Amino acid sequence: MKDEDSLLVGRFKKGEEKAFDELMNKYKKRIYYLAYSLTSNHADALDLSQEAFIKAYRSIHRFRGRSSFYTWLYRITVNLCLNHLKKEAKKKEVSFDERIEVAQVDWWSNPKKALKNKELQEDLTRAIDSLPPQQKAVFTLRHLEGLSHKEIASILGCSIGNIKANLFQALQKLRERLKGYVEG
Amino acid sequence: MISCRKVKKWMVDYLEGTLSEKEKALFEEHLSKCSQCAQEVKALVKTQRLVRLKVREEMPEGFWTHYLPRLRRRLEEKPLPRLAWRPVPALALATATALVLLVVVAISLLRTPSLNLENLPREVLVEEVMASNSELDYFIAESFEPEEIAQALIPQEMLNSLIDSNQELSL
Ligand SMILES: [Zn+2]
Repeated sequence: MKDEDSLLVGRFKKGEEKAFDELMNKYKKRIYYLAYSLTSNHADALDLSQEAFIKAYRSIHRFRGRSSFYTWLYRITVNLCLNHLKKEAKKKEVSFDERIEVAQVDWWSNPKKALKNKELQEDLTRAIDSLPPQQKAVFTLRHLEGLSHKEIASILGCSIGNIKANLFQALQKLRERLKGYVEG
Repeated sequence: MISCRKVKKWMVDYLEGTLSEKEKALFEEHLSKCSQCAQEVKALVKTQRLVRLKVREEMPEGFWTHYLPRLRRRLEEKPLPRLAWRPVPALALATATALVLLVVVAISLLRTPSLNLENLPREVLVEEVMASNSELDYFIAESFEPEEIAQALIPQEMLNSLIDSNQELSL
């Protein structure tokens, strides 16, 4: 709740450390899973989600409450993760042409089975993970986090047209990578 | 009939169901006459549905019991700078002016799209704009330490205008 958060932020600003503990406790899971969705890696998610809290902690005295604390923290996390993805992408030149070879699984007729199908889940993770950083972030925020185009545009500081273009390109790449599932 | 290019442009809105009735009719009219686009739409619809089957792996409870103590330790490794706008010693003033200039130069350079951010000096930092995201804000946010800002006496109006240029968003 926003009001409760404002109170906690206010208490922390006055020097009450425990108030920040409450905020961390409240949002640790959401922020961790956000970082995990964006990085597909538990070690990175742990490090970056904690880094986000640390940044929030160290700059809280400048947080003026024009957005909610959670929105602010969310934004810090996305930007940290996106920066991390960009650095990683530079380090290792991933081959986006690498095709995922799939045995035809009958996932379509049984979505429940698909949710538990480890192979499918791994393929989906690998496919999304292979997207270029910006496309991956946009795609994840839209389809895994459920944010609107406008919200994503605001977080990443680009236009809605740009977000749509990224979503289209991401989907085309995923289609290519997941050919074995999509065709047939 | 709308063009194949238009179909691509409208694709995301079609897939997400946000085209107007009229646009949707035009879109589908095109699909009925262009097998290439029709095929692509079919594959993308499937891809989107497939990707939505991705589930998030839950972390075990034990993971969470260690999460906060670990975070607390990290927080305490580097003490919180209780930043106040301290009086600046005379010596620091020269550096301060230089830093302000650097920021101004950085801002004007960053307006040029071809600038390579990697080549800019990164030793300074304003946490004020930490949560923002344009390349400019990110550069500044990552380039200054709060103490340095205090010493550099970057005009408050400049910081304010930077912060105000960041849109608020409501999630
Ligand atoms: Zn066509």
